[in-house]
Amino acid sequence: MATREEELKDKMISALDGDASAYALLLNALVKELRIFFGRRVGDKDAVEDLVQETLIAVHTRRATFDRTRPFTAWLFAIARYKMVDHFRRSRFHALDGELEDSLAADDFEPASAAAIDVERLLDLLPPKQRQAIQATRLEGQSLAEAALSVGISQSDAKMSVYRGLRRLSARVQGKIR
Amino acid sequence: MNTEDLINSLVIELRPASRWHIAQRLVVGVGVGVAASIALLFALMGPRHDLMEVLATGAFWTKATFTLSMAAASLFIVAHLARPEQSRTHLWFLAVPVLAYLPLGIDELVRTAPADWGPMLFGHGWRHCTWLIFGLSVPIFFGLCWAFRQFAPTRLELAGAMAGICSGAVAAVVYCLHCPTDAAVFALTWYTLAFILAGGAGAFLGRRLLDW
Repeated sequence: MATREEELKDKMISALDGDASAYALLLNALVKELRIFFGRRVGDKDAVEDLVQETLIAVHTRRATFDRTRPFTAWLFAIARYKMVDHFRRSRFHALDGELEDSLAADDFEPASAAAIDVERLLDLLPPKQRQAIQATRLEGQSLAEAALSVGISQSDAKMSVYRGLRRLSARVQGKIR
Repeated sequence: MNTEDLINSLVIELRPASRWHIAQRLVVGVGVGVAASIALLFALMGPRHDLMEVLATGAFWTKATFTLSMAAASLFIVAHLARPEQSRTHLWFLAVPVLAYLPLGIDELVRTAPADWGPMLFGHGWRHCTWLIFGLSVPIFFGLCWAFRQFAPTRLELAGAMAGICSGAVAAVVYCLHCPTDAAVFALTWYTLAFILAGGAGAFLGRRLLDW
């Protein structure tokens, strides 16, 4: 019987050769592994899911750094650990991160015109790609696919742009309060 | 976005990945950096006047070998740090070129009267040499940083330091075209100092530039 390591590594190698169905199976298997990994180490449930997604994106964009002659799980968890350390490093921003995300996503956002002006001013501080991605998904309520299409970037890029933009905004807001 | 959608979008984006991706990107990054560095050398100082004659001398080639082997050793370590796993890094590789070149330096000192050590060590333009190598290393360092944009380094300071040393060593290879002094004592001192400076700058910048 193949071990978990062998199973995952086989799928990874097929994926590196361009096999999309093996890749889909791999990523779904990784979600389970990563939820367990982060679940044990990170308290907040939302943070766990964020970390799972971030790690999936990193696995995707860095996949060519996997050496086929070496263990896959060591590679995977090295990436997961790096993302987790990054998370803890900026975790002091986290309370605000959540608040900002909620306030941007809230339905009764429109009446709060003063807040809207603030948000627009803040958004102007971001690079155009991040600003557009956040505007489309969080303010105009488009799906990620629509947003990606309208901004002219890939979906994972859009997802990352939204994420990075929000992170930057919360750092910015934090800086102003202090 | 839920995780399922994310997976779907990543699967759609999948393209086959080359086995030699790291090596390829490093070659492109260093190659472009070297081209810029050579252009800089010709623009600022030009090649040494006796370049054609010294190509036939052993002293020139031992110095060139010292810089080339330093570049190779550090590039090997850089390639290793491009991967996320924390396996053993063979930092001692960096000592090999220095230790191999050292006997030649000692031999020079033994053969030379102590009164003449000064001119040999300070050579022709030692003041500039270290800083020129450091300057020539800048485009190579940024070439390496470009390559790292698709890598997964997990020890950023170390990766930055090694990228710095590597860019310094490659810059020293380029600088051999100009440097009019072939004494081993000279290169061992001032070139190595340039590698250390470039490594320090790389360690400092690594945290910022190599994060992902």
